[in-house]
Amino acid sequence: MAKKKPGVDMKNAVWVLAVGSQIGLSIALPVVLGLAVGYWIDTRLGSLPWITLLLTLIGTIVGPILAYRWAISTVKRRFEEQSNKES
Amino acid sequence: MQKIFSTLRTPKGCLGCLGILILTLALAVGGLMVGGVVNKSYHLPEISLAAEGIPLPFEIPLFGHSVPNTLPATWLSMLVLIVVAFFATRKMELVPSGLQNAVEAIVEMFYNFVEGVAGERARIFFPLVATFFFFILISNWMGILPGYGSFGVWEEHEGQLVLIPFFRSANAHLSTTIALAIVSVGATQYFGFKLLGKPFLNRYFTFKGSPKKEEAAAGGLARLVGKLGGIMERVGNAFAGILELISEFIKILSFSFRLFGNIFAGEVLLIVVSFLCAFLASLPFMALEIFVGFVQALIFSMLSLVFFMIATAHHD
Repeated sequence: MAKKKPGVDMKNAVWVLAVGSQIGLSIALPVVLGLAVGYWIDTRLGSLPWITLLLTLIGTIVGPILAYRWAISTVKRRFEEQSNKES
Repeated sequence: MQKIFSTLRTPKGCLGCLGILILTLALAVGGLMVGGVVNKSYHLPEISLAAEGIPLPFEIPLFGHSVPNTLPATWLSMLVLIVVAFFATRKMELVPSGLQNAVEAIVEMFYNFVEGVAGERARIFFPLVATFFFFILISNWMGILPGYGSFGVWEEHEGQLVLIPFFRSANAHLSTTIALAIVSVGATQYFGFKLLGKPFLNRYFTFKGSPKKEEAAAGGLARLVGKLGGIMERVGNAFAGILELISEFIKILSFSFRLFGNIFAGEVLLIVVSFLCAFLASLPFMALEIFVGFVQALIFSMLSLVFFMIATAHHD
């Protein structure tokens, strides 16, 4: 099927889908994780807003950094592999 | 693929298709009539985020009196995979035919896919990645089968009769997907250690700076600045290691939430659409669910593969 219709490369399509969704989630999830862990610690210690706020803030800072680092390294590797295959 | 279509075009194939269509309609009408007889108090089904517990007459240690209804579904999809694998490999022939031929074709297709991404390391990663793919694919597709979510026991819950289905699509339970994600992330560490050895730990715990910068500084103030820069670099690298460590935990979450969210949303979508209009309206959504199930299985295995590749890449 794929041979007859040029233009749709399954491997690249799935790769873009997978990496894209992973980048999106790696921005969003640290915030949620910080919120959950902070709330859990706060309910244990009885210091309600502070640790939750702090960890959520850390999550919002860490998330984009993670996404950036991961996207750069993964895409770079991908380009290197493709140029290795072509040469 | 073409062979299937050409068989469908013959009179026999047309008759078969018509028969299946009539049977489906008859079942739908029959279900509509019988449904009113079996249970008169008719209300909308409960949609619950957590998997419902099937009540048991006896107690299982650690589980209590109920078992989540994704458990039978998981076992059923495992059973399908095991039975197919068993019958496909029972009489292995050099020139395959029948079931062996079909299974070999599918496995080979997926192997080529993995090889295209992983290259020569495909042989190491293929068994785990293929297991992920086929398990998720089969359980996603089996979740659309009739009987999943509609066949169960009625139970009193907060003064209302609620249907507790015996089967629920295996990946519509966060525990299943978290288990899959933990296996995937754990396997990343395992493959990293296996192929790289001890240097693999440098990803997470590193205090090394690049030696060039410290040597380049000659003396006096320049040397002090160089040393300070080196220390700054070490701290930065240590911080990057902590980030890597955090990202492993984020990976478990993102793996599990993506799969769970997609499959659970599909279940809810099908329930809502089929209660808005019982006939034919849910058909395109079922096609969509088949597609989503396939894509999610592919994405899960593809991402696992990408992470395996990154973990086993040689850093210099």
